[in-house]
Amino acid sequence: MTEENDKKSAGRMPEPPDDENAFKLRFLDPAEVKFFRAGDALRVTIEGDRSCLRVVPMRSFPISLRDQYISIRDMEGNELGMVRDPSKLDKESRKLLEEEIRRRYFTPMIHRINSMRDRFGVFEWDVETDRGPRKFLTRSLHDGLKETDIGFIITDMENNRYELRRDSHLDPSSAAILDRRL
Amino acid sequence: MILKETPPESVERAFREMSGDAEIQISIAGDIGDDGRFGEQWLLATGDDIMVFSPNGNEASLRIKLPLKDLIGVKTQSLIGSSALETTTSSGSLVELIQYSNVHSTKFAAAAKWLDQKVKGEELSPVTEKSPTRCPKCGMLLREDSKVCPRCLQRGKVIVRLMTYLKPYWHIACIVGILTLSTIGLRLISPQLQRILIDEALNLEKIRVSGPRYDLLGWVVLALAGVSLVGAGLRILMGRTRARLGSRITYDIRGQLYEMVQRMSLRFFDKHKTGELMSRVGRDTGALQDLLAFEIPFFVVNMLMLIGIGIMIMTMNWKLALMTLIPMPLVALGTTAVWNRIRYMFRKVWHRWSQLSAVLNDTLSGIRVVKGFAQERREVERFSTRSHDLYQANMHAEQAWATVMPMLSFLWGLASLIIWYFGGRSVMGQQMTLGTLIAFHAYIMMFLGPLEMVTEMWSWITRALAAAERIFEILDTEPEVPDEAEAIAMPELKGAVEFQNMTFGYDRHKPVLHNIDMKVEPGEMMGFVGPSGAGKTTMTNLICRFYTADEGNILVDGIDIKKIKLDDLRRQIGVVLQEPFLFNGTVAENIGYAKPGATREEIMQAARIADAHDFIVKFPDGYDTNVGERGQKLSGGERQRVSIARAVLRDPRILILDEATSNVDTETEKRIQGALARLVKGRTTFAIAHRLSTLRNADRLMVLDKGKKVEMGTHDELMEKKGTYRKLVELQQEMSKIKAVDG
Repeated sequence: MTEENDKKSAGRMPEPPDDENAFKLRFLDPAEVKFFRAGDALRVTIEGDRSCLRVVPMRSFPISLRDQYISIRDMEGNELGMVRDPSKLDKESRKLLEEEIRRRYFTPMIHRINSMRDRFGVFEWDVETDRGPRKFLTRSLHDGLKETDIGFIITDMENNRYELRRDSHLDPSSAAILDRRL
Repeated sequence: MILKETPPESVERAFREMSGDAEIQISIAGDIGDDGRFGEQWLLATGDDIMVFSPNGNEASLRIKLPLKDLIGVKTQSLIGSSALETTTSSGSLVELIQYSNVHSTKFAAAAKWLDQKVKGEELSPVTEKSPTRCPKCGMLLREDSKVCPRCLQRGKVIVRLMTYLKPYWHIACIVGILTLSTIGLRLISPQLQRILIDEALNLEKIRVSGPRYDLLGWVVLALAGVSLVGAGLRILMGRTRARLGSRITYDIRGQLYEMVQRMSLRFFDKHKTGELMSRVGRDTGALQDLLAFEIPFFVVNMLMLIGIGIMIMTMNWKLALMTLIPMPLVALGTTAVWNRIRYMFRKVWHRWSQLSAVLNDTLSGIRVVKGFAQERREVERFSTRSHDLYQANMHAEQAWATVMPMLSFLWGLASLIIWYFGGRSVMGQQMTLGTLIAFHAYIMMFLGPLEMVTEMWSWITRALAAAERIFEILDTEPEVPDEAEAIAMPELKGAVEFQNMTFGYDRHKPVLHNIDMKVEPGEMMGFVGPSGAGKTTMTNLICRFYTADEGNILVDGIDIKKIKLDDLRRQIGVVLQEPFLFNGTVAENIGYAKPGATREEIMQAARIADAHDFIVKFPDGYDTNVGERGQKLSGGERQRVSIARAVLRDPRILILDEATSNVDTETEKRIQGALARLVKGRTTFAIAHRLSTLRNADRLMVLDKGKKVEMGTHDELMEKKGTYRKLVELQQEMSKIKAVDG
């Protein structure tokens, strides 16, 4: 990189060169985006641009900023654009988008731990989540655990995910169980 | 795979109301309800309809019913943390049938395949059995690389099998047995000698009556000395023999295991990570050695000790024995409970240790980045947070330990108090001699040790047995591409390769190559072209028979590749990889690896053809230059030419070139190209390259995309066709222009 470029980029977002617009992120204007349902598929129309019969919303920051920067992609995985903040969409679109995200990201939140046990080298969790009670296994206590700012994302041996927050979402006796182990 | 599970009565009833007595083809349960919470839903399919039911108490409601004839496709869709089964109707709209957590992904994938074939009117392929991820008996989830369920593990069976390894060393085993029994016997004698000492030699009354008997005292002390001396001797002998036996058996098993691992197909290595296997060959056999050399003998010795002492004290004074032993089980249970608590605390310490070392490992190995971005301060803070966590866990654990240990020894000491008090009363009442009391006490003290151990031992042994079973599991695995009994020897291949409608997937229900047809003549060079992930490397893996086709056939010289003797096939295939793997050894050894027993001249000739001879000789150590681990002391271009020399020396009929000229400068590329051209001559060659220019010598090209053959023909034919290939060529020309401008 040249010196000039260095100065330019200091303290600012790096601007891609003009002739490479293809590599510029596209943020969708909430006023121009509409989501629909067709069957069970989520469909999008971007005014003045195009419609896509089936799109998949993907979180850019599934752990740290889950409700913003939603990448809208077609079934081939090409990004149509980013929704900066779904709450700026019209009511119906917002509802459909959030429904689809909730369906796609099946991450039950644990609010109670009934027991955590070591069973022959794998770790058995018996928990209550916001989507119902569940028992699952992780390979060892810390293998499936990814620490986040507010707690953990747990991935079990079959790639199911659970969220565990170390705050008010967790009842005190569960916090004590957790604390004894971690 | 069972696609017919028994639905609850409510679902069954609702289904019958709907479909009468139609035959159920598929009936499986998902575990996510349509409200997005955990809950049961049932997918049922007959030959005509798909239905989804939600059971709700005694009622089941029909959520979806679709006639198969209105559908055009059924597939699974991977979501994050769950999956869904979806179908497309003939009107083009998409319907989600059922969502399920990944616990059930295997059976739904099988159901999707069946349904998809059904609605498309394709031939139904049989539902294949996949290795279970859960124990069929107890439903416990198994470690992904193993079918051993620790809960259902039949300890007896494993021990019996281990015993078969003892057979060749039965005489040593017998010696160990005899030695063991003798030591136990000896240890039981000592307290008896003490009794004689006190009751006979040191008994004041007897001394008063018949004078001091120095001879008796001398004899008893001599006997005591003899017992401890012989005991020590026996223990030395026993320990040494035991160590020899355990090490020897583990050596046998380790060798057998490694040999087995070497014979496994690549599919096996895809399933088992390198680390896993290293731990099996290393750690599991280590655990086995501990089991054989220490744990089992220890357990047996202690059990025998317990029995022996039990008999002794019962015959000496059964009342006192019972009185002392009754509280023991309680104390033992209490100890186990306390142990469990403390173990968790230490595990927590261990957990925090590993977190701390993760930070350490991270920053130390990335220290250039840390310094480059001037982040030392932040790293110090990160470390000190973890370090503080560790300090706290450590303190708590140590404190608990310090509290509990004295309490435990007090509890165990209670036995002693009981003996002194009640035994003391018996001595005063003249029902028991002082010597007996002392001997009794000594026995009880000997009793406590083994008792404390035996409770712990059992869980150690269980763990070690699981390790043994995991080892046996590998030993019992059938190599996936075995040489069939009547394998055909083909010492001289011509090199014709043919694919017939071949489909393959690393994961059987996710094909990465679909219905590939290809016929390559001996000596022809075929290039594979396509974006990454198109299946190019997979094609070459199949030609090497690292994997076998799931459907369709692969023929070499007109014979099914599976029937050709694997040794013959591999001996006549040479591979030059993108990242050539060199072993830690000399250049000559690395080239010679291709042909055991190759002469120095052959090696040099091969290097000459590969244009490697000149740079090798220029090394101060010439052909004896050590290439370092993974050949890191050589440059990329040099490594590549060494690996070409290796292929030249092998003189294969079929040659596979995987992107052999990436990441080298133009001059080196030219040299490598030249070397390759000499290598390719007269051999059937399959070449993969991203840079299409490297394929200019290819006779024909096959364009692959997403596992399908898109185009095939000569360069000119494909350019003429104005299809995918031409687009790729044009795109690359654009790119090289940009590069030229950049450069």
